[in-house]
Amino acid sequence: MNNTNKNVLKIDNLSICFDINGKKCHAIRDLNLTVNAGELVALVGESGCGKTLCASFSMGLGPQTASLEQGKILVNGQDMTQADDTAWNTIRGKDVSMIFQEPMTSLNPLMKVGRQIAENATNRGVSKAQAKEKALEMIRLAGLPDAHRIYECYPHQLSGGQRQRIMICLALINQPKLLIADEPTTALDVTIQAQVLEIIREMCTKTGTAVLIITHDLGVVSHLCDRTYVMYAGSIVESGPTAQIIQNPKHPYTRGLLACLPDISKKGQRLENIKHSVPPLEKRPEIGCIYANRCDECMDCCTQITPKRIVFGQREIACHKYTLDNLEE
Amino acid sequence: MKKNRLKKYFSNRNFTLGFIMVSILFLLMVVGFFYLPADPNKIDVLKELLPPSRENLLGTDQLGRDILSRVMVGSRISFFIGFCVVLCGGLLGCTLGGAAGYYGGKIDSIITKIIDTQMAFPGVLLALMLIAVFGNSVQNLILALSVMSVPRFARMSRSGFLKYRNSEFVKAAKVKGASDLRIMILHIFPNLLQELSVTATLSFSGAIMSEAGLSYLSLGIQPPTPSFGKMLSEAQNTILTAGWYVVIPAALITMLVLGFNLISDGLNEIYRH
Repeated sequence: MNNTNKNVLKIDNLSICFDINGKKCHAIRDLNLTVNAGELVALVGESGCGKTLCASFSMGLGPQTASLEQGKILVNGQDMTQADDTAWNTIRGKDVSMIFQEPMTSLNPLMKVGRQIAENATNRGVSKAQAKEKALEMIRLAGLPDAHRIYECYPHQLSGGQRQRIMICLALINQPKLLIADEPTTALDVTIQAQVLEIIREMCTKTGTAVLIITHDLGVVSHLCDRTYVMYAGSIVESGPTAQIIQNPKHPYTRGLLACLPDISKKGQRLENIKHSVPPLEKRPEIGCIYANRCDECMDCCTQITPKRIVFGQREIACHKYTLDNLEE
Repeated sequence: MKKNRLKKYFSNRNFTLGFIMVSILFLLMVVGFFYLPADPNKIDVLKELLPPSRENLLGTDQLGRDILSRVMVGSRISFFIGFCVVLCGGLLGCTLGGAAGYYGGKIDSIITKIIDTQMAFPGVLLALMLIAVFGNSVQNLILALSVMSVPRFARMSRSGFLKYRNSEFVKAAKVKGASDLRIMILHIFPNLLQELSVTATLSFSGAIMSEAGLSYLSLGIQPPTPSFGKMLSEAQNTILTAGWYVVIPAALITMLVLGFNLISDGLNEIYRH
């Protein structure tokens, strides 16, 4: 590929708000995120912190009740911030694609799965016979045995894992530049979660597709992704190469998340948890650090001044505890 | 697998009963295309109001025409009108309801209001008005009855589209870059076929009944073309002298309407459980 350094997804200072009883509430605030071509990136955070909203907006599928306050969304170098459905339809399925959390409901129950995969190719002007060939090829790549039989199956004849693989085939048949996987393994059996993730990785490497994986499971991220963004209540609190974040978490929230993971060495002990939960939209403070009320290391300034992003090396962090000087030590 | 499906339908008593009733009349109509016992419009004053006999299996009417032949030809009109009404009304109703349910918002409230207004208007009166304004013909009858059946289809498909428009697989189709039209026709509509088939059979029987009613009032099919409603109104003058004549069209209308209603009930039961 000639444009390896190009961002396939660039979200710039994005703020999205909902109107709740006449009050503007931010669901996403000053979010910056980039995915480079061919890269695997994770977006990690608790439920309700805006991960899925962020993904929906990157696909042009944001809810109508949400309004984009500021910022830009660039998909494959194209500014899609103000794009309408027609504009989105020209890149959806071709340049960007998406996998959903729930494989049981994301396939049309009355259409053969093979046809659903092929449909994505025929939408792009590929002939029917070629599309079928391509679909069969994808089914084989996804590790499903007996591609011809699977092609003729209806969704109800397949298991959850099989359906999610079909979704992956469907998303990748046009070799998109970017795949957004919204909690692709959450609804699956633990035993096949790893398999499905491995298939996503393998197939994307083959097609040269960059992946943005949205998850709440740091375990998923650790051995799969190149870079990780940790998101809390609509903002990125920490980002950087996955290995560095896992081994040396800086932000108290990241540390909290990591402490919550069960581990064989913690056998017999109580699992850690982070106190309270993500505050609802209307109760989020406008200034100061949103995490302050749950943070064990909260200082006076935390509730008064919004922390700025500090860039050091490949990492970025937004916390008052750190300054450029104490980070470099 | 196909055999199983048929078995599922015919193990339902209502459906089977209705199917048999409608089939008998349908066969009668089909046979009528190839063979008629006598010319349905041939007047023979000498054979006025004969009771059923070997020569005229269902007797003759007040002009000496063979009733069996007239019934066979008359059923064509009933089926034809029922079919056209379901087709036109269904097409228009599903389009309106689909657009309302899928797009929501302003489009939805405008279409819903139009449909509600139409529903508030008595159906037969509307048909009478349309026929009075545009004249008396089969096309206008179909138009009038179609307009009457639109709300039923529109409400049904609106609720269906509303139910599926935010479903995951529709979102997945959007992610594929499918246009709205493609999503509506290819992804949502097939999921509504079960509910709509119930509505369609009900509409079919409703249209047949309305046609008979309007023809009875001399507003539908014009003589000499035979139709069940027309025959009924002709027969009422002779109700005391030739009782069988009035029974025949009445029984056939009942059989047809009841048959379709039973099919619709049966389908409903089959899809529900």
